[in-house]
Amino acid sequence: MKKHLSVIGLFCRTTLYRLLGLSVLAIVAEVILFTQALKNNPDLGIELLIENSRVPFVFAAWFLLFTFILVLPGCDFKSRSVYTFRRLRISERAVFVCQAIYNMACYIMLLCMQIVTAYGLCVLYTHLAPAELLSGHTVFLAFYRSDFLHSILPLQEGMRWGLMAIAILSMGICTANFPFMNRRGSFGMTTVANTVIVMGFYVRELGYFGLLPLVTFLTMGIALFNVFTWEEEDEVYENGAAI
Amino acid sequence: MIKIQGLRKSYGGKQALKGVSLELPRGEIVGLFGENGAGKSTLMKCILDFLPYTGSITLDGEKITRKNIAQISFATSEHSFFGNLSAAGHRDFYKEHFPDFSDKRFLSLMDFFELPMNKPIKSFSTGQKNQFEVILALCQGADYILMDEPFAGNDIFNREDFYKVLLGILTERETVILSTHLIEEVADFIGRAVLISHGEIVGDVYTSRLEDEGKTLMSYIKETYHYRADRVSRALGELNNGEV
Repeated sequence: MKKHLSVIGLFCRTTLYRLLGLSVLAIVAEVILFTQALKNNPDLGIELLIENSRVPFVFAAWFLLFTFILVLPGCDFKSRSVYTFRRLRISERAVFVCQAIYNMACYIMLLCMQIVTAYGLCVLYTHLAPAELLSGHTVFLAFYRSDFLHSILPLQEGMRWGLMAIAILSMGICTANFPFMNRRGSFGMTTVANTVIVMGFYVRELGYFGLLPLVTFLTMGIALFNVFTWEEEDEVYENGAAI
Repeated sequence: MIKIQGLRKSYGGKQALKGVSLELPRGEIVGLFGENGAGKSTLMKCILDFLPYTGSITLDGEKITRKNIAQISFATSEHSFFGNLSAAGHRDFYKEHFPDFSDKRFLSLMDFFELPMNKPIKSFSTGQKNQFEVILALCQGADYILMDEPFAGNDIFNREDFYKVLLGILTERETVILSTHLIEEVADFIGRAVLISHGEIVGDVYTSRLEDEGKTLMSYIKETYHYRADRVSRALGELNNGEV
């Protein structure tokens, strides 16, 4: 178990500071954009204000750069880390699983940070907005009325929680698949496809499920495809053929 | 002992190794020499099971797998470390995966080469990266240390210092297999020279035997490769005549 934890530690050491640095920048950007929008349009409701402030776009960029940082460790760009991975006491398959688990944890961390930031922005709104726009349920209602806020914290919409879980699962697997493929000289196209799909379906209005089941299956399909490809590649390696 | 028998490896239609057989007992420092594309790197990668091959490679009678791969370390000019990780991070990671990792040797060598412990390796110069690659291979606790052109990019003083240090720290269980083009530099350092050409072993000699015969390593290599000493003068002569 310690060997597996050391691999997770390896990915953590090479990415965590960058991820946290990026997150601080993104949070600061969201706060600045939101306060600026509130200053310019003091009479807007919080849902419109969130939209006008472009906070969702900052989150999209945050998610993209987050993904970029997560796919780098384990790639053979400037050194051949594959030579080390193949001499470890655990299989490269186990390394893949460790990286996928770590990446999933990072995406959960990203989501939590965005939820806390969004909640903070809502609280800020209740302090700065005119009294006639506020009620005792302003923040609670905002998470139902704003598509963005509802998408990151779906409250009682169980289906959305399920989709979120699948998105995190598939992103974890796909971002771990990218360096795995890279070490074999291939480009992890499924990682790009999965990122686009997750970004595409993430922000949706309450109760909208038109394309969501399809997207869900697509995401899962890509995730499974990645796993299938990985198993196939690893079998080749296990039998002595590689590189 | 690493025992290689009838090792063949092809890239597409081209045969990189043509039935190589070699025995590498513990406690030797072996120089592996050959022209570019002779098959030196391929041989090392086959030993490490990085490449598919036909033939047999065993370590103490057993096939090399994940169970015994820790007995072999690898330093390559391609580098195998993690660029974003510091030296200290590598040490912690290696200690988990290689139970015989030598912390003492690691700290001594880091100190000797004056390498920073807490900077990411990607910030090192090429020479420092090579040094660190070799340090990792030497500290892994492996009995067989494979080095594939480990000092490409290092200055001569640096390399000479390294050879001296290496001779001082190696134990009698450790075997170094060093692939390099710097023949004269390593002549006093190695105990055995293996010559490979076009995928075949064309020479295998202990340097003590060369000494007994009054030969130098370079003369033995030139003799084995049928090096024509007058090649340059003839070529220059032909060129000059042609111009006139």
